[in-house]
Amino acid sequence: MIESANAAPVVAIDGLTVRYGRKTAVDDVSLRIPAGAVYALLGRNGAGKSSLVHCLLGLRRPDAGRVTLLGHDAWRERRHAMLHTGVVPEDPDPSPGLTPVELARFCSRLYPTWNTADVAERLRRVGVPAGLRFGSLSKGQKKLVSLALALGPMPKLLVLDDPTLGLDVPGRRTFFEELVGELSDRGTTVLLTTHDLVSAEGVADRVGILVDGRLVVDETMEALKARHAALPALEEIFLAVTGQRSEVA
Amino acid sequence: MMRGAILIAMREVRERRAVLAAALVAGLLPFASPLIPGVAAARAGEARDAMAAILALGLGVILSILLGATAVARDLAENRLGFDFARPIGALGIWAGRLGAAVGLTLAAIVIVATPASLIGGRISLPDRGETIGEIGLPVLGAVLLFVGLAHAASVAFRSRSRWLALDLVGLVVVLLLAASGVKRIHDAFAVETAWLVGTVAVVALIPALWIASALQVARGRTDLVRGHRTQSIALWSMLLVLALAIAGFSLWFVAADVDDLVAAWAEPAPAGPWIALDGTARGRPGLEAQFLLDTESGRSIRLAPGDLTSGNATMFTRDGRSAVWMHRMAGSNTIEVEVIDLAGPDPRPRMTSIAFDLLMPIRADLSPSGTRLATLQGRSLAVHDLEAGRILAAATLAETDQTWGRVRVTFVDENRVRVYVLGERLIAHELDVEHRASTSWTGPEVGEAYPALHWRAGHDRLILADPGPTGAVLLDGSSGATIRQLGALGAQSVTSCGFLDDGRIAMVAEPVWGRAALELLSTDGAPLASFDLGTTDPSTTFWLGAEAAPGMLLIGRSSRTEPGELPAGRLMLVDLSTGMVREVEGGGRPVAAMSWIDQQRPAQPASVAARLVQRARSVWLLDPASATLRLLAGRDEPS
Repeated sequence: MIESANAAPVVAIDGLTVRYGRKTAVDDVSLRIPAGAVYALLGRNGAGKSSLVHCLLGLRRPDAGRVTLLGHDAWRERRHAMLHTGVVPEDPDPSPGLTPVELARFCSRLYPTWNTADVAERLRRVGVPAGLRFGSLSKGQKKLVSLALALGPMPKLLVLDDPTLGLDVPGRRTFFEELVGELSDRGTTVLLTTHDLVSAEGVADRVGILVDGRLVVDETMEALKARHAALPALEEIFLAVTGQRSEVA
Repeated sequence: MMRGAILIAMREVRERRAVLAAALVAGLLPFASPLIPGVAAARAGEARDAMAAILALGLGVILSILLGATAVARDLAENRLGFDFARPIGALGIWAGRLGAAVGLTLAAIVIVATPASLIGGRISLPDRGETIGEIGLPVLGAVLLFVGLAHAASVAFRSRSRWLALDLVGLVVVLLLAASGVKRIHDAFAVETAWLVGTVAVVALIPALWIASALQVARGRTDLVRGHRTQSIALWSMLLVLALAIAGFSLWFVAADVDDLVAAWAEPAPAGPWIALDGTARGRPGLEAQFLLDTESGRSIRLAPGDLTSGNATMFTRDGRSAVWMHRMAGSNTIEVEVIDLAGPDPRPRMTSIAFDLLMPIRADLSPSGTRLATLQGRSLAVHDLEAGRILAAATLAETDQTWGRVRVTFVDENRVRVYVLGERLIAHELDVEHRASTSWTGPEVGEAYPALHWRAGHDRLILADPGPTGAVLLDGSSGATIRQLGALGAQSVTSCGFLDDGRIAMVAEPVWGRAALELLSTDGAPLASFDLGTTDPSTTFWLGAEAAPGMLLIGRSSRTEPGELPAGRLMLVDLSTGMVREVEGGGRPVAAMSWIDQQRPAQPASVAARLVQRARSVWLLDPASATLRLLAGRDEPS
């Protein structure tokens, strides 16, 4: 699924630094996400994932460095970058007073590539009541609606910011089933930040791990596992890399 | 941007469509006004229209605040703005769509509320604003933009709870103080309309400042509430500080008019010495009546607090011109304060006395020869104040007076005696002896309906009552009011202007022959001494008898009668009192000494500045009698 090294990366981050006052949240991070990759960005709470994603989505101007999405500067050309980017935020954020159908109608007018039938089918498949206001939906339903809206424009890049946070196990499963189905259908590039390492291990082919704002791991899942052959799962590797568990132990 | 903004606005309207339904219900409420107890059936229509207007405006205010406060800031605080920023819509599109929807919804609600009552037969109007769409719509649109902008800014500030709130509070205080003090400064200078204009401009300028700040807040802060608040605060208070500084600077410049800034000036000279009081309008300062004391020799000027010139009391000088006093109404207050200045000192500065009047400015006042006492007439009460101590030295209630400014005179005869001349049906003189606190009075001849001129010689032993009516000019005994001699009357000898010369003789311009004017010189008892021809006249010719610009050289102005209030330049001539030789003064004008025919008489000493001062149109000039040329002192040399 990984394209050749010569292909332009979908996400290119160079020397990204984000500071909040004296605190450095993201410290000189550089990474590339090639087209078609599913990149799991991992890190403990406060490691800098959200700050990085905010810069990636053009919500925050980097204090240093540059972020480009699909060749567009994330801060200055956000509008162009978002034309082919779907986003599922940590907290679903559509207007609570509108129904999923109304939200889909609103979004459909913004994207020339919007697939109305696909969105309707996806909403039907996951069993979201079409006439209910978004604010009245359950947390899991909100996540699935957000995913449907994110996938509606047939994006080249999908950014999932801890999308299963707060979901129970069936909810996570449903969410990732939808995601995997999407990936197998279209080969969309995905940047996923999550604490759900088991699910991430099932879908990601590249892994980045942030520790105190620094990107200490940035490699393929295969290479990571090979380097930590003694550890059976991504979760164990993560704990070892972040210093919460000794690799020897 | 536009497409995204429109789509967001449509989405916002759809989400808040209940507002329009509520407005529709509110729009029907006025039709229930006849059910209100106390509303007469005949006035049901008026009640309905009034109720519709109140509901429309009330709902407009409430909605603009509520929608403005929630359009962006609520979603920003609740982390829902990211939904819009995850779409291919520019930041300004998001800003315009959300806040535009708030404005649109509010306006739509106002229209919905007002329309049913308007259609049924009533007309909705704003007080003092008229009824057309432009007259109503613009203020309403402005108010909605202002309230939405204010509510949004305040909502962002309070929801962020960041330390930038401190900047907001400091900015608010500083900007309000600067702007309010600026507006007050202009208002206190009695330029009320300009103060209102500046205040209105400030409020109108607040609208773009708020909206620009909100645009920057969304564009730069995006989904970061604190960062957005910081951007908003810096942008807003920078703009408002510039605005407030501009207002403060403008107000300082406005009240700091200099003599050179006067485009229209009028003068009140001291009887002796170089000082004159100037007032007039200044360049670029509409509504300001600037007032100065000007030393015509050195050019030094002292700016006085702009006065309420409706008071009718000009600056009063002592006869030696060494001190002056004036009354000043404090803006926004009913108190009238008295200020004095010692012009003989090295650094003359106005000084407030402890004398003050409530509500009513004295109708007339005069300063004693020494400059230590002030006589005032309020209603029938004559009082003599000690300017230094602020106490009343003597007072009297006049048995008979006149409340018309032009028909009353108050003047010190000497330091201890004050006279009030009342030009009612008859001339009445009241005299108050300050030292003995005793008053006397006499009644003189009849006075006509028009405003007469009253002249007196030093010591008040002789008076001239120059009545434009049938009485003509008569010389009176100043101690009894008895007529000494008829100086002129209609027909045989029409007197157009007269007065006392410094040596006590009487100068009078008359028409001994129909169509020709002459300067008549009379003795202290009115006996003819000499007559000098002043040329032909026509029915519109008026002569203005000035004072001796140089010893023995009388300054006389001649003009055609014009509409009231106009000051024609006219011809100006110097007449040699010994030979009658007339010398024209280039440029013309009118002797200032001749102009106070309705005001207090302040005799100008020969060769004094007061005797040489000339008013030409809206400018004040000083005559050089040797060369018969004029030098501009103040005002603009243009015809009025």
